[in-house]
Amino acid sequence: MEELPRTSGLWVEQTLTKILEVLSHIPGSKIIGRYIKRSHQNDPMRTVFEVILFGFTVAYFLASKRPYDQRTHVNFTEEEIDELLKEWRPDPLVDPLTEEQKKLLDLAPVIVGENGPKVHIKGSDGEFMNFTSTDLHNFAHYDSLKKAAVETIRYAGVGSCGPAGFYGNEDFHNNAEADISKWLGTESSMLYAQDNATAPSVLPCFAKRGDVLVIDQAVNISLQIGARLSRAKIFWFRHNEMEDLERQLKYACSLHKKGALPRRFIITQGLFDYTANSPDLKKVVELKNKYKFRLILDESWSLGVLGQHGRGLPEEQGVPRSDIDITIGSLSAAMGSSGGFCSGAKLIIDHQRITSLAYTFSATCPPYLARVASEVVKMLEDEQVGPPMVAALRDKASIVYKTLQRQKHIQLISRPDSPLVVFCLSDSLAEKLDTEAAVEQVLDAIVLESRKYGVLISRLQQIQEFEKYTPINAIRLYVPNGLSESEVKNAASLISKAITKAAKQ
Amino acid sequence: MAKGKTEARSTDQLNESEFGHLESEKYLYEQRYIPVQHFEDDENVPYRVILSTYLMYFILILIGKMTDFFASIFDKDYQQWLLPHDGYAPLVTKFDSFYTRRLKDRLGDCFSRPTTGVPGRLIKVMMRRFAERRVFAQLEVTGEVRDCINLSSYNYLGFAQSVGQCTDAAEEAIYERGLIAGGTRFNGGCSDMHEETEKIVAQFVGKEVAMLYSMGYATNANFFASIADRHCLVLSDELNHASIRTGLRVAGAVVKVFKHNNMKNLEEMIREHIAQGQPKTHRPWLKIFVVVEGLYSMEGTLCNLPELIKLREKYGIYLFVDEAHSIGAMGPHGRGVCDYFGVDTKNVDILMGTFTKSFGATGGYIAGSKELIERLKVANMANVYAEAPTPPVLAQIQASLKTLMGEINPGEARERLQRLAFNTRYFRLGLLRMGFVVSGHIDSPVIPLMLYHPSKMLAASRLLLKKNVAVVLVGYPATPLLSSRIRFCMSSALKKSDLDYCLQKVQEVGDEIWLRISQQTGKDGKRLRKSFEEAQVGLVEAALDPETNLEFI
Repeated sequence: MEELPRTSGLWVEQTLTKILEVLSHIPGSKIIGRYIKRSHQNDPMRTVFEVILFGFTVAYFLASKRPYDQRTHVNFTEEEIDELLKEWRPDPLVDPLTEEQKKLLDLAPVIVGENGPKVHIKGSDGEFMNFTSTDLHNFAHYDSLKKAAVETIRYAGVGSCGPAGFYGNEDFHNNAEADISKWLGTESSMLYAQDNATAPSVLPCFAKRGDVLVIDQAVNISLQIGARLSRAKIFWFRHNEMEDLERQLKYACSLHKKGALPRRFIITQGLFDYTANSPDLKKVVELKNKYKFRLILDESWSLGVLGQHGRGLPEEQGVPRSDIDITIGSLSAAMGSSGGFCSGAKLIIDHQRITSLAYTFSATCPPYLARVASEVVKMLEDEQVGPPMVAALRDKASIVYKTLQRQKHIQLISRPDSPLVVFCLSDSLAEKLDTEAAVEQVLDAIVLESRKYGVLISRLQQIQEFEKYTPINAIRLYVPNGLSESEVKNAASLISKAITKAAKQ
Repeated sequence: MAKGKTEARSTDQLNESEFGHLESEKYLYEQRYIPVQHFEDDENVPYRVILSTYLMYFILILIGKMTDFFASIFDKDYQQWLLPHDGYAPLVTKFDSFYTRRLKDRLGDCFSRPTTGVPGRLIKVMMRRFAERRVFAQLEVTGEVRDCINLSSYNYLGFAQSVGQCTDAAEEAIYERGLIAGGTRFNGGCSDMHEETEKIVAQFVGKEVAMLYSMGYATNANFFASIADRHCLVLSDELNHASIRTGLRVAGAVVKVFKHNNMKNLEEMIREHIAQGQPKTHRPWLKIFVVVEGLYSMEGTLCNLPELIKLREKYGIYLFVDEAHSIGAMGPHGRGVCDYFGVDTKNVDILMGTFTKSFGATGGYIAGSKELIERLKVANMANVYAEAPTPPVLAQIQASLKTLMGEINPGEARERLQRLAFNTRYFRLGLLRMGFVVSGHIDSPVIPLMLYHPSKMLAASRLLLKKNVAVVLVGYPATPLLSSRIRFCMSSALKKSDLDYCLQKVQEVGDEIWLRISQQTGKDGKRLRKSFEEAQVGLVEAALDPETNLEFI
């Protein structure tokens, strides 16, 4: 028994010598050994410090491998887990639709045959004047465009079969991008395959955590989602109110005390999806320069509509395009094609081509749509074709606006010459109805009554659970350029008649 | 019965450069699932390759940092773009963009090569040259157009054509229905043609109902927000596509990632998370989703569907399978992974897929129960806010699906599907025999050839383009930094002689830049390093043998 400490001591010593012997065979180990020895002799505290550091590193690496949050983790035995598993009852995959949602679904029109200014719908006889089509100029039925599209399909097929990075970028796409840039007067542009996917992909390329976004409260859903995905700090300003914008800009700037300068953006739209209004762009640009913000302008609805050649809000208000840092646009609204685009300085686009998710991880749009976009841009640029067409659309929009202005049961929200005409019930009527449900009922009645008169209209659709602000209960008309002025006038008075009838019920 | 028709069609109607003719009836293979084939990705690379890859990145980063230093003094674009000026923060920080500027940009000419015409059997690549540099390398088109064998497009079944029943249908749709849908599905853009197409899609994938969207990426990016919220748990495979990850972020669900195809890891996580409940509150989860892809587009691996279905039944989770690449390309009838594994589609709650790949169209679909689709109709952003698919696209989808179901040109479906299956096995086995490191499932039409070194990406792509073979490079961020690769996409449009040509060229390039580094041994116990001629011996028979095991080639 007494021998034990001595023998075990010997064993430890022998093992250590052996380990050192093995270690000495590793090349370079002598240098390390000598280094440790010397540094220990010079400063023993350093050894202690380095041992602690080593321990910390090991602990850190082990800690990161723990899969669960240790603070809230409860330790269960296998039996307990089995019991909990038995108890767990998942919710059904989806909740059944509410009555309102079912009604909405029933009201959604299904077009039979060709879509255009005059359509047939499922479940009703007769022809309807179509105030629901986003193809405002009726480009879908231009023979020259159809010919170009068929030519393209006969040359390149329908789909592009690949993302832009992987041979999906045809010359049609590149030409369309160049044509859009030339038309708008920007350095460079890029196409996206869906308009709604554009903004959620563009914003996170530039705005990151810690950056500042000052956004109009009425912007469309894709800008809202984009802002959320960017993880930046968001400040909302009241719809088109420049004093509030300035207040928010000031406040946002005051929050930055020290550290790296955050990127700052103002985000607004040329023609808002939900209110069909436009901001005072000159004032916005002035404020942006004053507070050193950059401007992202969503021109989804203003292109092809505002300005002499349909170049959007900047053309209308005389603001140079160079004052807008990033332009986001839709080709599927008044531009007669499908998809979206982003336009700006060359470097802004080049950076996006590598980092934008919806661009790099998605197939490009069909070549024929890119070709159609090119042709549409050329038409709008043509002095003989473009300006008269855009002016005619705005004239027709004004006719609808003026006719509906006389209707006292409603309140127009949109600007007078916007082909998106948005109206809600007048304050007096809404007060009388009291509840939101009753308001919705009247709006549905207006839609149904209009259809009885042969005018296809629909409510402004928003999904409440995704919107940042409560959706407005309103009706949105898309004034089609494909109808003649007298037809538009007739339709507007029919809608007005339907409103009167619905309000009386 | 179908033979006569098939031959008549391929010689008379089809343009040879888009869809090559079938050289022999022998080169057809009916896909069959053999359970022994592995799911795990076993790469066997020497350690020195990994080490030298790290070293190479180290050198590249060093050079990049030095270039950055000089650029910050001399390059005006650089200063304006990446340094704060006049009170504006740079739009992109130096650190964030370092990878794209200094590493990815060196490969600039290998990506986004412009093309023209049909991406069929051959693809017309427009050659480019370097122009003046502005932070990123700028390229301009030289005017030379080169016909390359297309191993790059997602044209699995060869439906990318400018002639044939699909294109005819698309043309007719333009004249009869117009160029675009003219609105969102919920409002003004929904036509009887959409509903008709949805019925065909639902019938094809084997679900009650289906819903179409105009963009594949957006289908996923908007889908999850409609069914999951922060009280739901989503278990997502680590290699899931960016669109799924975006969609899950939009939904705000709690996302946990499990190791690629690791069913043990997944089951452990399911048990753990059901027991623990929601974080902090410990309330039970409302729903648990397992989100996987049918065919992983970067790895060429398949999901372990039989095992996933067992887990679904055992624990009551909801199963989402993204069939973006597998629909059309997998299964004896081209109906995706369920068809391949021979399981009933009712075992999968949600089937998602795209039309961009196998069907030569564009857009995506979600297929599921009637309740699910009704909910999507009113509460899906892509349905309510985004434009609907256009008539020509719908016509292409209808025509290609009807062809696959045998309603148009009976017999053509068999040829397209079986040619793809044969080409896939033939090319993969050829590469393996020559000693390349190839990952993925034997029946997967996506065949990644591992390169590892970043510099080899550049070399491989340029050398193959010189030899008229168009290939796709995949690197970070689509794959881990270390495992850069070439990705070959097979197609029914390719002829066997095309594949032989490509195998030969790949071997030449492989010798030049040292790509034959597989550690795998053949039957004789030696490492596989066969030359192209040696590899060809018995290759067709091996490809046609369903029992061919990757271990013994």
